Amino acid sequence: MKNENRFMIISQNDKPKGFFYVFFHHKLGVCGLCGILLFILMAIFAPMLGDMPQGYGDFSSVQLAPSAEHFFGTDAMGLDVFLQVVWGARTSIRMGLMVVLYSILIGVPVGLIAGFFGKKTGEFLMGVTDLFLTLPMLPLMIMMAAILGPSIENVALVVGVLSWPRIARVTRAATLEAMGMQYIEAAKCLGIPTGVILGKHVFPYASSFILVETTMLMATAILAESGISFLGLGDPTVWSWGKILQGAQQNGIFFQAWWCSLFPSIFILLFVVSFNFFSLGIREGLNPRSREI
Amino acid sequence: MIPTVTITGFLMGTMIGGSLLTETIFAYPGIGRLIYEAVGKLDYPVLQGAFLTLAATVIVIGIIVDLLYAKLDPRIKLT
Repeated sequence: MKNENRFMIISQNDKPKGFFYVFFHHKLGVCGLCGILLFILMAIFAPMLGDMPQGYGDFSSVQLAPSAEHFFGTDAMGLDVFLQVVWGARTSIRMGLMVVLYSILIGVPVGLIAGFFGKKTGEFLMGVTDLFLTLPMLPLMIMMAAILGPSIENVALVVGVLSWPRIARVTRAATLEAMGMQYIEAAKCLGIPTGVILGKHVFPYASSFILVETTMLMATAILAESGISFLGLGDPTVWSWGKILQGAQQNGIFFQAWWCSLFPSIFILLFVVSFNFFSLGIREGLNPRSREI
Repeated sequence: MIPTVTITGFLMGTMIGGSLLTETIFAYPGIGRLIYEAVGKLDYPVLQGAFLTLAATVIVIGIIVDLLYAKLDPRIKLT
């Protein structure tokens, strides 16, 4: 079929398919998008679902199993687990966005410069990137989080500073690809300043690859944040899914009161899976092969 | 085979990170739990030692991966 197409007369209607057309026909990608939208709505409308659980709850309702009143049951303090999970979504999304921002701020310039200036500068920068990539990440994050002090901004900073290498690698690969193209050569011959070439001509080419990597990074960031707050180094003033798990483990009710540990875990899983599916969909939509007529 | 070996080398860092959480949950006396407890007490010498060990492990694994390339693909020669 593909080979026959090659000999067909191309009519006006045979334009390549658009990004959105391919994306919305990719079932997993759409599932991921729906999941992400649900999480965002949940985070925005958290105050409407109920107040943030604080302090000590009702002592007559400690460790209640899930019921119509408490959808996900209550924890050892008598606080509603459903509300904790809902308010935890806020933390997770805020945290993920901050991590992405930090790693783009570091990773994209490093990748662009490493790709553009090849030779020594590039090799040095990629050496640093590889160093960060091979380091055992979680122990380092835990140590930095412990030293900087527990707050959501610090945790985001730590995770962001340690997860930019993936963005840098992708950006560099795209930059090297773009460097071989003639319009970059033309721009160089015209004497356009390097910064303008990088920003106006190379970056737009790389941006689609960066977007895919960014959505994957959101998922990793949430996992890292859950790990850090599970170990008790997260922000004690806000709810996050890792913190609910930590509370369940500290009170020794990890297995007896299964609702305290099961529901936050399921939400972490769903969040990570939706972002991964979403990035699969974007990748499919940006792939020129899947956009062929 | 070569990409598989490369990724396996990279995964070692993640594996050690993951073992930290497992060791904490199941109270298994490993280097991960040592780091966790040292962080709790801000015991820097122990942290330094643990990180030196981890870094050395990762580097040794990197070298092993490089040596494996030559074994797996005869076209690659060690110089």
